[in-house]
Amino acid sequence: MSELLGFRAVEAGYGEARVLHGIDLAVGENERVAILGRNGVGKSTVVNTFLGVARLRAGEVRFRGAPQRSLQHFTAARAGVAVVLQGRHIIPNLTVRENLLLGAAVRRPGAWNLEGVFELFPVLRERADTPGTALSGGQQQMLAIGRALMANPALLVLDEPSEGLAPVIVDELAVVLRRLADGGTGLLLIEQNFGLVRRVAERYYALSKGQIVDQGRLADLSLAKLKEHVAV
Amino acid sequence: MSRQAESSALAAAPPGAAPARWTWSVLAAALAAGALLPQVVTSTLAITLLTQAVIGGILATAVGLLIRQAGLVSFGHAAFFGLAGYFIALPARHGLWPAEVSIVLAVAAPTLLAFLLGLVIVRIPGVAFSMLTLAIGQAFHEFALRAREITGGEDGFAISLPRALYGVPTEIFQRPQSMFVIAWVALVVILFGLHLLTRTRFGRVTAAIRENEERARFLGYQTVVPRALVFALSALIGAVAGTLFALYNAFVSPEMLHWSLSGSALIMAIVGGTKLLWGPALGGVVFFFFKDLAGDLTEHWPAMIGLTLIVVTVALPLGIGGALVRLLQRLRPAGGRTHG
Repeated sequence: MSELLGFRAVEAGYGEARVLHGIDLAVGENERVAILGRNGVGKSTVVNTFLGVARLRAGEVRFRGAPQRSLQHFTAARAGVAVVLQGRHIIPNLTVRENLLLGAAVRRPGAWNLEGVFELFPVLRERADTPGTALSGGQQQMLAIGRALMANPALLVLDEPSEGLAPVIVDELAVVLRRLADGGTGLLLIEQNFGLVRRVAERYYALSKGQIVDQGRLADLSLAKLKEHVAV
Repeated sequence: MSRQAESSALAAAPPGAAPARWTWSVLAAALAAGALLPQVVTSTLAITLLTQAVIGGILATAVGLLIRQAGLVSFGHAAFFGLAGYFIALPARHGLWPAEVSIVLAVAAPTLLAFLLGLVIVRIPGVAFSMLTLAIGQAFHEFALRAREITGGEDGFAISLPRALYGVPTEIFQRPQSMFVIAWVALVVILFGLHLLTRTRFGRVTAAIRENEERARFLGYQTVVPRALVFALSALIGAVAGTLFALYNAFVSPEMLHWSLSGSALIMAIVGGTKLLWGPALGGVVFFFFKDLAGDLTEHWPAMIGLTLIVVTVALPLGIGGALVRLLQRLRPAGGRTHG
């Protein structure tokens, strides 16, 4: 299985503060991986590091096995890694359709297009000409995922996708993510909702104080241990 | 409707599809209205004022476009307006090349200059960008003022135009009745072109960069070049206004480059409403007529304009154009969305 995203002994942080200490992780093609951890352990910094927002101070970030000399905001997108950030970041003055079309910044070949996203999320078709920020939280999350899919990513990274969503919407989200994974899209899920993690991921890394303290297959992880990893 | 949703309704246009039939109808009606107006308005004073207002409206459209599409406020657009004038005037004075070539250069050179400047200055957000545009504009003004041998200094100079331009008698450009139609057609074509542009990928990307530059970059977009292109397009429109002004008056002076003209264009854009493509042009017309009216009442007319700007900004944050659209939406609650 070829590696899509890899961290080798990564030390990263913001300004003088180091948040990640010697992180090693790898996500392969068509894998479903979760990064678990309590608030403030550095989960989002993993994303911010390969997006070039957090400063890489030591170690190596690889896309498709190639070490990245310079991490720019757009490096990940061009390597086929699409990110759904915490807070969704819907563009306010654009409609749902326009927000989706923006996602096709990187024209990678693939099956995802506007029609495909509308089939996956029919509510977005119904509200296609509505301003993106006029949607409910759950619909905005769908829009953010749909926009990421428009880039036909090999790996979809979701940072706290269940945040602020009703349990029934989280259930829907789990179904959608499984469908995406079944369709061949790799997933990296950064999440504290253990129900969502158990339904979607097959492998996990547990973070504590910026270090990986546990990793393995979800199937081998007891519910008690999983709750311990994600407890707030 | 919330303020944000309302703003979206004013600003957004459905992408991709061909322009709706109503768009072509509006275009045809606008062109017809421009052609008919000089027949209806018999007062030379009124038509002169209208001609000035439309040229001012084109300059305001340039400033408004930069705000609407890039979130950038320029205090230096008079530079592109004035440079266009000097690009026509100086070659004519020194007999360098035909006036037709100068007119092309008058639009192209400020546009190219703006693109190159834009690659540097659009990286700097907020007030700092505005101050840079002010400094650049004033640098050109100072040069025109001091390089007396070249530019005629503060006095400026008359442009010696040939009898015909592109086969059209030059007097056509200098009669208010005919120049009004030319300027009006230019304004309508510019607004229609911008309307189409907002529906393209470029329009969406620049809107996304304006709203959330970091998010746009995460999606894989380079953000500097699109913003520089918006700045250049805005300069192009400003240069068109300057070209029309120079042909109409056959005269250039450093006043065409002065920051107060940039400030007036900004006031027009704000008064008309920057969320709408046509808002700044409406602001231009309102501005010129209000200036004329206030000028008849008092010599302190700039104070009245300042007061009006404060009132409009506070009472009508979406400008007069935005208020009109809101009013129409209230009158037609079941009506469709309004397109910018």
